[in-house]
Amino acid sequence: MEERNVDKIYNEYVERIVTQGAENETVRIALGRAIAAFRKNRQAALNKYPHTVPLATEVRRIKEYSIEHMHELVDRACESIEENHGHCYKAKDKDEALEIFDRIIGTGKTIVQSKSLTAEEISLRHHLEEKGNEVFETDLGEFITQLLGNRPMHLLAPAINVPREEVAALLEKYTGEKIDHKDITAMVNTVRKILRDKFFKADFGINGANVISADTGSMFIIENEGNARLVTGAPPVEIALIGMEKVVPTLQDAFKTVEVTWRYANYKMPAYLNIISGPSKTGDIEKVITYGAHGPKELHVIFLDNGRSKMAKDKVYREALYCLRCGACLYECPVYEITAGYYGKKYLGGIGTIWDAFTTVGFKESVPMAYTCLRCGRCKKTCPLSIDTPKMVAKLRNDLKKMGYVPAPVRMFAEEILKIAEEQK
Amino acid sequence: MEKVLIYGWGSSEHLNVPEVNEGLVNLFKKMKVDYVIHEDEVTCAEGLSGLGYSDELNQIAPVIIKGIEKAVKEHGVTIAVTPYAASYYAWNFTLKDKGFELPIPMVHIVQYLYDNLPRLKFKEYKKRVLIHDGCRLGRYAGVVKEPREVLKAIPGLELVEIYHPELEVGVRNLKPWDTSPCPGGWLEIIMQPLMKHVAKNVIDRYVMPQKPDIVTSTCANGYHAFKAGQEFGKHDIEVKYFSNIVEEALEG
Ligand code: SF4
Repeated sequence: MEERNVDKIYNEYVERIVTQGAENETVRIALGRAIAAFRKNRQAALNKYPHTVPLATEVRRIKEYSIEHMHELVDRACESIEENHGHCYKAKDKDEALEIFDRIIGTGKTIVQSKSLTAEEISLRHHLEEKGNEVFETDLGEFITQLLGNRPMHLLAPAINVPREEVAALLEKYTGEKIDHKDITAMVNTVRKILRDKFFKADFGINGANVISADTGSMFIIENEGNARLVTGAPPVEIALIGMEKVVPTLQDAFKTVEVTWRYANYKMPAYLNIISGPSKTGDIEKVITYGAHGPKELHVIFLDNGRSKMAKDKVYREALYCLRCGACLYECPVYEITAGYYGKKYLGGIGTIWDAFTTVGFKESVPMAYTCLRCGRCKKTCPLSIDTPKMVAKLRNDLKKMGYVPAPVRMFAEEILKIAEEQK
Repeated sequence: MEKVLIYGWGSSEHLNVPEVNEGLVNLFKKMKVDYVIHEDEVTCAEGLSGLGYSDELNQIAPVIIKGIEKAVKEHGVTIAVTPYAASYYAWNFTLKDKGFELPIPMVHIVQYLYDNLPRLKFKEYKKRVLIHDGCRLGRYAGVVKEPREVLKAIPGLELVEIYHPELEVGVRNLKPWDTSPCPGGWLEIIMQPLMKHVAKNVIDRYVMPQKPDIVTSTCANGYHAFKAGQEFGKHDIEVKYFSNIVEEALEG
């Protein structure tokens, strides 16, 4: 395949982010509504539970320790999972992870999936569909995104750019039924009806996790819709795909981490906190432990590296691995505020640029995102862990420059300065 | 006797905001301060490190130092004053941390005016002014008291801040400069077609709800973005650079 030129990559991206993002009034309207609601909710959540703020400082320390000891903790988590009668795998990259999925799932199966950025990172749904499986996204926003043939536009709210009118039209087309374009409850009920039986007919449930504790092998999944609960509870086999950076030493650490995550993600308390440590079991007959009671009979947990070890080795980029994916920084980014997910590829915004460079599109393709960030530092102020995204972006730009990847406008600007400086030497 | 070196002249020309330069000249004239325009300036150089050219900035820094040493020798300047947050931040933090020292202090115009506040005689200026802190000056360097004290000293001027709901979360202890949005001045260089959209949105969502007569920024780069956003959005509001307001309000 012909290597793409950096300027071409940059120009295509600029065209897309401006015409489909910035100039799109629909994106602005939908984001405006969502951001206002998010800020109001977060203000209320933090005011009601002020201990979250010092707790976030503690979580930063937990994450620092966890990333420093990531491999050792993943090994320990695997031991715990196996002890709980689950199966544990480690995938060093996307291909290895997909191969594991293929071995477990095969073809011709029905799969329900709950929202997972890690699955998005390796284009899991697309891959499983290509292998002849039927996959249903079950998070409402993800389901809308799937129907649209689009990609998620926010970490927590994948269809944040789609206003209610468009959702109604989409569902009308899918169901052939008339839906009130203002009635959000009717839209939610329609999706509920569509997906209800899929959970119970599915052969596999696939989920991600917000955090996993090494000492007990317990995955924590924060959710509001109840779809993750069904995905992890109804099908006979559950497969979890978890980024290695999600591991923390103890169950206590995991509780602290999820509390900070949902609070900064604008929730006082999510409707559900799922904690899963193994396949379902019962000892109700003569205390003989039998696996596969009402929930899944099998649990498979796949830990994904895919660039994370490389990130962890660098003392600047390492910070990106602390990210809790609360999504708060995106709402505070002046560029994201008018462009939504057009600022990014698989991951989004400034922090997403680092993730995309290491885990999905690579350094060269991350150039335009690296040069979208204003480095204004508002994200760092809003981040529960004070992750220094502007610093990482500056380093990324310097590393890209060393690789010869600088877009033309920046190159020309720099060359002009260097010329003036040379003349004045 | 203090003599000012106006630093950032070329950047304002480059960004097509010559009114920032004119404002500074008029201001120093009114203040009866001796000044020199820095002719040997390497325009916009301090931005290089954030653009991926850190090594090059390290090579240019001695050239800039040499230029200022020359100005000290030839004109006897004692202080460099800049309207740019990036220049102030570079010479007082990033480049300083790397061991680069200028022969004279580099201060931001808001600091210079604050330090000279007792000498400033203002006439009435009946305007509601919304202040925007340049990101590197406010959020990064914490130079926030100075611009506010200067504006508050102008009779009739009503100072307003950018609002954000998180300011009402007591335990977070955030201030307006922590949460204020950047209008995207750097986009001029990194992604020009986006700038007017970002700036327009910042004016729509954060400036207009406060109903000011004027929006001002403490950074000339931020000002230039606001100007582009206002022109694009045709908002019924004036955009002025910080020291232009001060100059207009000064007697003389
Ligand atoms: S960088 Fe911080 S604010 Fe942004 S998603 Fe991650 S944890 Fe949340």
